[in-house]
Amino acid sequence: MTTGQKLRFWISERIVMIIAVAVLLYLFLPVAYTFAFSFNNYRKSNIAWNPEGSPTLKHWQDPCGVEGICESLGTSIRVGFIATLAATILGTMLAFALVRHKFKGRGAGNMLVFIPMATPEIVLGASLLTIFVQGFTRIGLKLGFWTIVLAHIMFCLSFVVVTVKARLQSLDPRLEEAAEDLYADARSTFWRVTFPLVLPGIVSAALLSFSLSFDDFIITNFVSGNESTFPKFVYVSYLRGIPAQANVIGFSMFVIAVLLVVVGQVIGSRRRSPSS
Amino acid sequence: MGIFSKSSGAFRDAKGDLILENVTKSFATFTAVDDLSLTVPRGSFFALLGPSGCGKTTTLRMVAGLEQPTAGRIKIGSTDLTGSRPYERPVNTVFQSYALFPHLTVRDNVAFGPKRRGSADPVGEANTTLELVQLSHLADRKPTQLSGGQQQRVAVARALVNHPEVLLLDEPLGALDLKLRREMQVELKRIQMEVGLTFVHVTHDQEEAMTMADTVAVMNLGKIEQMGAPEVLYDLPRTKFVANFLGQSNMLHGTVQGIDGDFTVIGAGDHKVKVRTSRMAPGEGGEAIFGIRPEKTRVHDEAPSATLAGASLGPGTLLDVSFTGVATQYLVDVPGVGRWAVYEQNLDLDRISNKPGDQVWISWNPGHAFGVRS
Amino acid sequence: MTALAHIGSTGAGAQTPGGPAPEPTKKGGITAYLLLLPGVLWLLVFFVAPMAQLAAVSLQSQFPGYPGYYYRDVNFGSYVTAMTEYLPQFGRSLLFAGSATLLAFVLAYPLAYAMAFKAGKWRGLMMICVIAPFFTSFILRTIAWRQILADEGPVVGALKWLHVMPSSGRITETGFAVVAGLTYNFLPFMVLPIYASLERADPKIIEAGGDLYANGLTTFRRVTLPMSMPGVLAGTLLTFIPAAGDYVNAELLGSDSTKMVGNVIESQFFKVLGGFPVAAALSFTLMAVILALVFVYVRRYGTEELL
Repeated sequence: MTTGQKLRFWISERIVMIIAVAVLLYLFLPVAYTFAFSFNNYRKSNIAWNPEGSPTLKHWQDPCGVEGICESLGTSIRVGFIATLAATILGTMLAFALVRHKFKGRGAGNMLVFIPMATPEIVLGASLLTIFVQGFTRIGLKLGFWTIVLAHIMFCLSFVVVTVKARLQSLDPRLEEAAEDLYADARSTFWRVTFPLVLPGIVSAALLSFSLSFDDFIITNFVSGNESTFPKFVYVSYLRGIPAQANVIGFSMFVIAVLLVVVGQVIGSRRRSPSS
Repeated sequence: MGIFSKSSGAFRDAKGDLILENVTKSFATFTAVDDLSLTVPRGSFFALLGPSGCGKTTTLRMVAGLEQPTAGRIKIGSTDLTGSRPYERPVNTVFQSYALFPHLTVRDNVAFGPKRRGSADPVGEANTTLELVQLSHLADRKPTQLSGGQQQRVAVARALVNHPEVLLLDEPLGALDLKLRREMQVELKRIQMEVGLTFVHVTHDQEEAMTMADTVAVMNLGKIEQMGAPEVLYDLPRTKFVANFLGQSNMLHGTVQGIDGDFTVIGAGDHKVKVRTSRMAPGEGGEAIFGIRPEKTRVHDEAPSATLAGASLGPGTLLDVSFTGVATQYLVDVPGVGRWAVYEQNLDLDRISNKPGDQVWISWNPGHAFGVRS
Repeated sequence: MTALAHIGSTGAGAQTPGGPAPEPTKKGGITAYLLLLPGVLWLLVFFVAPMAQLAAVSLQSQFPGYPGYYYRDVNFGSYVTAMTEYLPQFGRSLLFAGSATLLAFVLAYPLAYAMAFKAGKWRGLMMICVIAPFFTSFILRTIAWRQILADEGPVVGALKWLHVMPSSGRITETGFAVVAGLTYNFLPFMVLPIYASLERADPKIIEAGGDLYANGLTTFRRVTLPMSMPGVLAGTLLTFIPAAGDYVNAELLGSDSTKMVGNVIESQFFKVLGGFPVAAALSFTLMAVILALVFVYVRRYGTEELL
């Protein structure tokens, strides 16, 4: 083989992997940009790199140094927690009913869960704004924190149902029969066998739900009134120049999430590997 | 609470033979089990044998309480279990593909039943039973870290630890390879002898059923075709289905043409064969099916003598000869009868000389023949 | 429906070992309805009712001479306005979303394939790499793209230096930039379901396909692609639907001539006095078009397990 042939063989063997790594780099490029510009000693707007005085750590030393930024982050986290908790509970119940029970209108129930996922966010946002403004204000509900929470529970719900449903459907029904056969009544069968086995699905549904809620902008923008979440803060401040603190916080969230995922995977794989 | 625990306690204390009385199970579109009655004596190893869809698994599930019969009663001794829940019955199941709890260790899997029953020392019981199946060293593993054969033993231990009155085995060896299956057959038989419980084993593998069970019931289309000791079933099948499902049989469809001493003569076209009248399945009508096991027959190059009249067939054309080591299998096409198989043990020193295309005759000892009604 | 479940079911364990077993569906009973009640109620109040309200608004008429004041009516005028005045934005939405979906598929498939069959021990790391960028707010990442693609940015600079692009050329404020942004933002939604369905596939089957067809491309077309079809279907839906309704990319990366229907809905709601009925009509039309496309698409390419 000539060197050229060797090279061609080497590339053709790895071409898929090379493309894959290129796509991953493409996915990370903006994150790297966000990271780099968190050290920018920008003057008016953090769009162009200012070589004078950059890189600087001043934004990292004072991440809350811009008015409203940490408040909006706090709002996002609180909304995320409440919405995740509620959507996970409601969605898990729905998933159990849809998978485990035969009842009239099961098809309609599945449809009702599916259609919100097939509806663009802007339509969800628009419809929620309409009913909040024209209907709910009559009972004293103002646009703000709670309308965001209500809306987020709604759009996270379908994703929870789908995730938990998938887990439930992949569960071997013979496991529950085995439990019943081994003297467990309905209640202990559920708590000793069904629930522990579905739990990983519920956990990933909750994580999915939190990240959807945390990163949502379009629906939030419609129903938030004067309340600001972190994505909304960034979007609104874009018009007058995003502070580098947004980059600091955005990149930190990324690091925290990656660390959590890595720790979770390590614990998960350790649990799976032989203990003795 | 009081009434509940009392009644379930009563179910759990049931002792004696397993009795099914006129049990029927119908689903929306078909009847899986059709008016089935049988008694499994306490302490016996009983096999329910049949092709898939014959109703054997449904029967097992009804005994376990996982299904309720549409009609009929299921009893252990004098206690009627019909309508009680699975967790109220002194019955445990070794599930097909084992259904081990993946989130629990082997020990916790086995201790699951004792814990639920409120045993004083569930872990101790689990350890003892794991010793019985020789798995103590793997007690801390998760089921997914075990091999198929080991998982199978855990499943057996998980059921046995409860000392059920009846242990149900639903195709427990189906997922294992042949060698391991043979080992486990011996192992299960050993355990059954040791603990002395009633085992009800469901399988579609006739060899497995015959090796292990004291009594085999052959099921087809929701009914029991024939029941008895394996050797009796094999020697004297009473229906065409049993003759073909339990081993292989050469058949001749004909009509009863008369009696010749102890024998009944069955004829089809130019062929006449005879069966001991006592080995004819009882039944009405002139139609009958003659049967003989392939290993009870021999092939000949020349027409057999007249003394073998009624215990020979031919001439036919040899279609295939295959040498399997211990035996040689011949496939012979007899005009007007069909294809018959002959297994001859390789006892002779001389080489097989017959080739496909040769003209051959088949003969047998008439005492081995049997007759079934169509 | 299970198509979308792929995203959640990635890496689920405790699968049925001995083939499918009968579903233990319990009959009706009050438990089923108790489990259903809160969730269904929630969806009725916060999905169905708002949709109905939106439908009502889209049919309202305006008091002549009083912009911003309407009365209840069955007036399809807003739909006529929506479809005549904003047809370009509508077409653009579908075109941009379609292009972005196609591009995302082209980029996502090799990545998903590499993760499923080539990555080995790197699989977990690659998985994290796909999901991780999600956690930096997507607005921040879109703004980063604006910086990367800016007139004075590295991409334009390089292209001009190579004379691939005329010195007056630019990327931001073009449709290309919007499509690029959409592709980028929804790429993980394409990767994950395809990966999930490829991961379930048995690599031996693909090897067998390689034996039968020899040609790599044919193996891909006849064996690999059909096996991953549920994932592809889910991925395209998860990419196309949000892309068609998006307005952030068009706002941050585009110009007036690249506005999508989302931008119109947003500005009709927030910036135009009396714009509610037209915005509502646009929303409804968008949803109807998307649902129609989804159903046709799923019927055409889906298996029974999908809807």
